[in-house]
Amino acid sequence: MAETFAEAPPAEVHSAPGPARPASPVPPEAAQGPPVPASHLSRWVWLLTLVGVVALVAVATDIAGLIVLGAVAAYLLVPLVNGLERSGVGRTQATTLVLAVLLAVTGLVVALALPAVIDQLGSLQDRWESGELLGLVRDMEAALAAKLGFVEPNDLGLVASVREAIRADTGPLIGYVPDALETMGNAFIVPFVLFALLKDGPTLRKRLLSVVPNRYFEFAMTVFYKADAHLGGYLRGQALIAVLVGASTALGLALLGVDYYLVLGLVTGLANFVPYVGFVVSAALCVVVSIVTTGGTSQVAAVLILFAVLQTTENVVFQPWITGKNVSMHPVMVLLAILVGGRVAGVMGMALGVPVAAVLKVVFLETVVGLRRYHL
Amino acid sequence: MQSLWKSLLGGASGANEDDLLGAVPLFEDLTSRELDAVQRLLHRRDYVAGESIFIQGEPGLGMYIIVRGAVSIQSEPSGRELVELVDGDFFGEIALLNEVIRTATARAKTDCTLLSLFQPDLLSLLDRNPRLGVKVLLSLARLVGLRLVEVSDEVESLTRECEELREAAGVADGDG
Repeated sequence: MAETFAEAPPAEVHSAPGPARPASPVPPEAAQGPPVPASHLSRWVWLLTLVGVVALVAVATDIAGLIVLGAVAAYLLVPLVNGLERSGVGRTQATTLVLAVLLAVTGLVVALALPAVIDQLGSLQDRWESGELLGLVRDMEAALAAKLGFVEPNDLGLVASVREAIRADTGPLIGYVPDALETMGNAFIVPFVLFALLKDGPTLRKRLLSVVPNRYFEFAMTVFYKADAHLGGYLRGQALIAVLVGASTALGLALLGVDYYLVLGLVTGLANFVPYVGFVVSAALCVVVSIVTTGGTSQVAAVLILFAVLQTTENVVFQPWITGKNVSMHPVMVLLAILVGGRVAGVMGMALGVPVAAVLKVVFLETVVGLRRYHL
Repeated sequence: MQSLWKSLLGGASGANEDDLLGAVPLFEDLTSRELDAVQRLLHRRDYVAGESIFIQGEPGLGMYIIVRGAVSIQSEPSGRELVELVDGDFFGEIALLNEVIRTATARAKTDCTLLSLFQPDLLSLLDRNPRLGVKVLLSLARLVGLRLVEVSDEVESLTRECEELREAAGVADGDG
């Protein structure tokens, strides 16, 4: 009703309503100030929540990581649950169904693809242990040294650095499989969090907002929904791109005859969650693997072309379609976010650094706008 | 502290809110099952007397339904009261349809309990349950239409009044 009574004045005219407020017909005892008990309470709730989150991250980083994983998965799957709900299925049933299908599909993929992946990893491990790969690197170093003349063999330290690098990388990579299984065994927490967030996400959101003081409520609501929409869009888009890039890399490498194409495709898809850096690292990895496995540079050009084509496709076709709907960030900010994220939470931090930075950007921009437009 | 747990763990919401929701013109066509679904979207807010709910010139994002209490709709900067709303009334519905600047200030006259419905929630309802969303939207459109008719009538009578005044002034001028 309010809207129809007065005509809209320009916002600037009323940017300073503070002094005008006492003039309004307000009971004197109520004009004393904001609702003290309510805001105190919500401040405590916020403080407790913050302390809880910090404590969880500090004490049980791995569990916090699993919760984040569950939340990311929830973001990816929410459209499916909403779609089912739209066609008349209850939210609980829709969530159960999506989760059941997800577990079945994951199980199937693991059952079908894991043997092949483990096979490729195992063969890589065998070749490493037999010293074949190291020998190839040694040959390359010798060849380089012979060509360059002014360096002695071993001066370059290629063998040592490759040994270091491979020890650092393949160790965890191969150890990752039992680790992952163990994690999955212990981590019933991921499906649990996923189920809870999918089913009760809207309710949870409402409850979170319910502790915001009245004065900041509409503003908090705006920020919350914009951040939520951006994060959801970003994560869903990145997941889709990761699948597309991973699959096309594996296919391309298979066509080029590069060994371990499944592992490399998987790594490329996952690495693609980290903008710029991921692609460069996985391209370098593919080149190294192709050199090492073929003992020459015959495939390098083709692999580089493949990656150039994929990168171009991603940048020209996929990314505009996805980032068009999201906050655009300066590449320097993106790299900074990746580096800081990596420092804070390792590989997962690198993947989540960008969306977190995007959310912070939304919060920051909305707060700046809010300070101007809301009478906070 | 008890209310803290209640707010965290989601204590039972009053049954009277459900009844009241059905009495709100916006939701009167809904079945009790649909009312439950709408209820889940609504945010319950408590205000003390004198507290502002929103201020003229701020961006608006949703509408408020009065469960209990009285709300004064005021025009800034004079603070002149345009209308007083009580239990079951609702206000701010235009912001629900379109993110617009609030055209008046809403202030709690007494301690109030309000339910608020926000645009993102309405949009998500439209996405998840279009049938119910359309039902809500349709009655919203009807009510906005009714208010438009009221305002048009008022404009017409004001115009007539203006003309009469002008004529009277003209006559007076002619006399003078």
